[in-house]
Formats: sequence, structure tokens, C-alpha cells
Amino acid sequence: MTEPLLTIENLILALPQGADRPHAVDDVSLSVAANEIVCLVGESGSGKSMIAHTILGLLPAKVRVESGAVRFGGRDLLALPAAEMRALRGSDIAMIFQEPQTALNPLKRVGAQVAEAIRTHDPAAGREATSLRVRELFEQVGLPDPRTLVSAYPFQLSGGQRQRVMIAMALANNPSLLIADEPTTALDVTTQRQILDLIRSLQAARGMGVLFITHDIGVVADIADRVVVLRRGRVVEQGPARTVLNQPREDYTRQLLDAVPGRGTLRRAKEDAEPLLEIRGLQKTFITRQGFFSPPRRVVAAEALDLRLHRGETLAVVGESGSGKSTLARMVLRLIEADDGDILFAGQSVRAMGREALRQFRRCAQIVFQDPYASLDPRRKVGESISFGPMAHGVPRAEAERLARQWLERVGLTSQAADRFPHEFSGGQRQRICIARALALEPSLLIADEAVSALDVSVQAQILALLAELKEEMNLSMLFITHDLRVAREIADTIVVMRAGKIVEQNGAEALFAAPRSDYARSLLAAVPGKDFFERASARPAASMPASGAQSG
Amino acid sequence: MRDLVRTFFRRPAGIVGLVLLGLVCLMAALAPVLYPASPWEMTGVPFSRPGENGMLLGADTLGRDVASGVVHGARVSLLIGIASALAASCIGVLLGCIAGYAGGLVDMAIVRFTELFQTIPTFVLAILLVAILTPSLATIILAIALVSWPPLARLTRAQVMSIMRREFVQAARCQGQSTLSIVTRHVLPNAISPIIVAGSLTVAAAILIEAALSFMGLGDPNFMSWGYMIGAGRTVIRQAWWMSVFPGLAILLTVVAINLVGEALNDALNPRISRA
Repeated sequence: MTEPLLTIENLILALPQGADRPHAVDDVSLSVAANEIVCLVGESGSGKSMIAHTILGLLPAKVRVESGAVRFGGRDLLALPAAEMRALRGSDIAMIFQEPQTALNPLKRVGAQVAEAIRTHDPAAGREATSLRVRELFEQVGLPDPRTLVSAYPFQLSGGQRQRVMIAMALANNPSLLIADEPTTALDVTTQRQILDLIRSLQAARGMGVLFITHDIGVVADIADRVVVLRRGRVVEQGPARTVLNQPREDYTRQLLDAVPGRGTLRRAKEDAEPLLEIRGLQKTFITRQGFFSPPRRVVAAEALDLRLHRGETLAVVGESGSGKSTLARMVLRLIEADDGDILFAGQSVRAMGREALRQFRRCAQIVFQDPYASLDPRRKVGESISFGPMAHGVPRAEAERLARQWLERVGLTSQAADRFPHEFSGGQRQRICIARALALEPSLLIADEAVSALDVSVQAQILALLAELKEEMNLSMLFITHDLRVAREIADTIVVMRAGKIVEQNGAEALFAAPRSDYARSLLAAVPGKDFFERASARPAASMPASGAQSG
Repeated sequence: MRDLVRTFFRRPAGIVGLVLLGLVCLMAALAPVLYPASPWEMTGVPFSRPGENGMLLGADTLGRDVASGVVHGARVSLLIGIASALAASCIGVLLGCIAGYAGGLVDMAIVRFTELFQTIPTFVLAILLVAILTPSLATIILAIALVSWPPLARLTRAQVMSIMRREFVQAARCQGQSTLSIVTRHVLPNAISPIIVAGSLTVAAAILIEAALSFMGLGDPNFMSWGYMIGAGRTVIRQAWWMSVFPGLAILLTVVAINLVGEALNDALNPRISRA
């Protein structure tokens, strides 16, 4: 093997005092050679982004490099003067970030932003030559119609297109090392698949070294040549992807592998039960006026939706962002009013309900939102957030507080959590609090709107297990909204696939995974990260893969 | 809360402002002790220079003690400033809340009503109100409150609207909490910090309006105020500067102090600064 492109040797990063651990990164050594993809896997808080930021000298002011070296092309990046570091950034080493929404300047045309990246490192490049190069780059990253797209503003592009622009910008100066920090986490499954394929093919064509950071081991299975597993700042295991994934030596790696959703036994839909929630011909179109003279923009969020959710059943609504699935959840609870159609809950029309009837209905139908950071009041103690619900329905304060503590324990926290504020909890813990808040009202229907999408894969598995357990215990019916088919497979009896406000396919989970009827469902299935690997893995005898019962958490 | 106090005191501006404001308050509180006689009483020789005839800051055209006027005037200025800012905040927060929460036609009506007030020059309206209602402490407070609430209403409305969209408010609605409970328990506590800051700056503006009203002879005739003193001394400012300068300095210091406190409060209530 040739000289590696990037070597990190015994890197130790010190966190400021009062952090949850003294070292963000503890004695990490790894290397990336030219023409290979190295995946850095770990949960959030494992220090994987810190390593990426160290390489480019972008560490936050409070984090200090205690010891170690980062070598790139024979130079120690940690000792490099600021001017040389700047010359390196964006030229020899380029980076792609997680959030394509915020990584682009919203007020500048995307072509100009890429051109700027070129001119920064090559001031001599002429106007014509630069714009030609920008168009070439746009073509290489698979953006449609580069000629017109260069003059688009970021808000006119979709998330996937923006990420492609970011990649074009990163590749603008032919870097030899590309650092990708969770570049697909914020994207839909199908878009994620396209971006992964793109990175893979560009890497192969250019012979780049890629350091790819992710929390999803499914993604690793798809693109990695070598894997480094990180936990709480320490390297747990590293080696060739094939070896690490097929014969993991460490328990932690095995846990990560087992946490990937979508491999459990499928549930069979119950036939008999009467429907708890029935939706008929639901319509919703959003109309935004753009100006006095321009015609209003119309977005169809729901077109003649028909759904049935039986008692004790879990119905998953799957679709990409913009397919109208979250709007559907909100229309059921009348947080958004539908334009037309019927919503029947236990035979009663939700849309015809008056104020008090709606209040009583919402008690029976609770929701858990996607973003655990936005869905808890930052100025209220957690206990209060939970107990306000029962109190609004006439439970005396002391009793409601007791209930809140009881529920916090039930979802796996301590009763002392009631006296703390939301910012003291992690994402997964907050989502547990949200579940406690919803269930404290003893609903019969629980709507989970992307309830696990913002969480790490391993935390996801725990929350899904908790939901399944509570569902069984309280005989809940669940409307589970997700963009991730793997998650749907883990929990749903019936699956509805939505696209652009329409139902593309409505099928039992078993049937959908065995033989999808629609092309769209097929393409969604094909896009699932790590699909091939896990299919091969589950086809093999259990000898090489530990039983999936080993996951406890 | 401790974070808040700590950040507040880490800023020199906050400390300076608080000390100055404390001095003004002390002056107002101790006025009857320091100068037991009415500030209207002609106790000395007219046109005494500062320090002459036992008068620290000199005497005015009628022989009234300027120092006594400044000290007693602090009470009026602070009272009017705080009372009218409170009244303005009550009107502004209430209307802003209703507009932001209700939306639709109600919102539109309230916004138009607010704009109606904003199109009339503030000071002209204040003069008009006081002139019609005859000048007294109560009418001055009312007039100042009526002209200073619109910015507070707009700020509250914007705050409430952005917080209403947050998911924890939707979660509270799904829990079945009443509108009043949602607004008072979840929306207002999250919206209040910029409103407190704007409210504290309104105090400074109110003091200035009161001074201007008194300067024009529209102050309460029963109370000595800084604006009145400047107004009375302005005709002889070239012969006797001290009659206008000392009350003017008092206004300047008080307003600066309140502004500094407001700014420091702004930083302290901003979680990104206070927790850094």
C-alpha cells in the first residue's frame, strides 16, 4: 500500500471543564489513503465531527488539542500557520457539511458561490474559464440543466440539489482529500442513495481519499472501504469494511449493527377489528400568494386520501419530504384544517367537532413530534410540561404531578427528571419525555410524526422498542409517520406509501416488503442504505451474525 | 436566574447603569429629607450662582433652589417614566398577544389600529391629549402611555406569532390546555425577554416626553419637574446657565442609566450570550 494521504496519530482533544468527559477525542489514530473511503461511525457525542474539524483547523475555541499529530502530505496540520491552512482548505482538503440548507449563502446565486470557491484559490482564473468550470462541475455532480441552474438561488433548489451544489463546491479545486460530515443525514432515503452513489463514483473517478462521517452503519455498508468505529472519543474497532461488518470483534460494533432498523420479523395486519380512525377523500392544497401580480403558488398536500386504522394496529405512512405525510398527521388532530373530506374517529366526525368535543378528542389522540428540541417548552420544567395535560382535564395538581413522575419512570427516566429543564437532556431522553407527555393522557391513538428521525440509529432502536412495548401494554393504535422504510418495517402492520399528496400504495407490511405493487415503493425499497449487506447477512446462517435478540437497551 | 444575574454583572455597562439608576432612585427617595421645604418656595436670592448663598446648584430667576428642584424632580420623572411605561406595556402586550394568537381578521384589525397611532407624530399626539385633558400627573401618564404602546404591541405580536408556530405550543394544544393557559404558561414566558428590554427603554423615552411636555408648560403645576425647570430657565440661559444645565444633566444621566440597564438586560436575557 502507498503512503497514506492523511494520518492522525494519537490525537487527544481536551474539552473545557464541566463537560461530560475530559476528552472529546482520546488517543485516536487513523489514516486515509488516496483512492479509498474511510467511514468514521459513531453515535452523536462520540467526537467524530470534532476529528473532522481538527483536520481543517475549525475546532471551537473551547476545545484544545492536547497532543497528537495530523499529517497531510508530509506536513503536520496542527502546526501549520493560519495562512497556509487557509490555502489548504477548500483546495487540497475539501469538506461537505450535514445541512445543505444552511451551508449555502441564501442571498447568492449558487453558480457564483462555486465560482468564488475557484477564484479564492486561483485568483488568476479568468471569468470565462471559471464559469465554464462551474458548468462542468454541475454536470459532473448530476445537476439537471447546469446552464440555467448556475443562476438559481439556494431556496429554489431541493435539499438533494443543494447537497450536489455543495459537493460541486468541494470538488472545485480538485481536492485530494474530501471530508464528508454526515452529508446525507438530512436527506430522504432516495436522495441519500443518489448522493452516496455520486460520492462513490466521483471518488473512484478522481482517486480521492474520502473521510466519511456517519452514524448510520447501513450507509457504511454501502460505501466504505475501511471503517473506524468511535465511541465516546475512543476508537473501538477499525479495519477493512468487510471484516468489521461481517466479523465484528467488539460488542459495541455488534450493537450498532443490530440497532439498524428494518430486519425484524414482519407483522401481519389484523383483519377483524373495526376501524378506529377512518379518513375519506381528504383534500388539502396550500396556496401561497407570492406577489400582487404573480399567480399564487399551489402545493397539493393531500389529494383524495383514504385511510383506515384499525384498533390496536400500527399504520405507517411513508414518503419523502414534501409528500404531505406530516400535513396528514396535523389534519387528523386539526392543527391544520383540511379543505374537504371526512375524518372519522370511533365513528365521530372530527372535522365537525366543536370546541369542547375537539378538546376531548385530542385527549384520545396524542402526538409525538419529530424534533425533540422544539417540542418541549424550554422554560418549563419537564414535570410541568407533562402534568399540564391531565390538569387541563380536571386532574388535581398533586395527582397530576404524581402521574408525571410515574410516567417519567415508565419511559425509562428517573422521577427526579421532573424537576429539570429540557436542555439538560439528550435528544433520545427528550423524545422519551415527549412520549410520557402524550401517554399521560391515556390516549387510544398515538400519532408519531417522524418521532425517531432526528435520533441516532442506536437510540432509534431503543425508542422504537419502547413504543412497541407501550403500544402492547396500553392497547394503543398508532399512526406512524416516517420517511424511512426500515423504521416502518420495524413497527408497522400496514404501510401506506405517499407521494406528492397521493397514496401510491397501501399494503400489509409483509406484502409490501415481499412484493411491492408500485414502482415508487420499489425504488424506495432499493434506496434503503445497507440493503445488500443486511440481506446477505441475514441470508447467512446465524453463526457469523449474532442473534438480533442481543440488543438490549 | 443565577445565570441571568451573572451575565448582567459581567458587563460594565450594566453595572454603571445600575449604579447611576440607583443614585437617581436614592435621590428621589431622600428628597423630603435632603430638602424638606417645597421646591417651589423662594428661599434665596434670585440668580445666585452655584455655591453662592448656601445654594449648591444656585437659584433660579425667582430665588428657588435649583438643587431642591433637581432632587424633587427625580420623583416626578421616575414616577411618570415607570408608570407610563408599565401602562404602555399592559396595552401593548395585551393587544399584541391577541393579535398574534388570534390571527386573521382580529389580527388585521389590531394591526390597522396600531398603525393609526403610529402615523400620528408621537409628541404632537401627547401634547394634544394633555392639552385636552388638562395637565395633571394622571393625564400625563395616560397620554404618554397612549403614545408609546404601539412599538410594544408590534414586538409582542411578532414574538407571539413565531412562538405559536413552535411544536411545544401545538403539543400543549393537543394536551387540551385552554387558550389562556397556553398563552400565559407557554407563549408569554418564551416571548417576554425582548419585551422586558423594550419596556425598560420605554421608561427612558417616557421621561423625555414628560420633560418635553413640562418644558412646553404642560406639566402638572403641583409638581416640580426637570422639564419645567429647563423651560423656566431657558429665557435667561446666557446669563444663568445653571438653571437649565443641572436639570438637563439629571435627565441625561437618568436616560443613559436606563438605556444601559436595558442593554445589559438584553444581553442577559439572550440565552446564547448568557450561557456562553
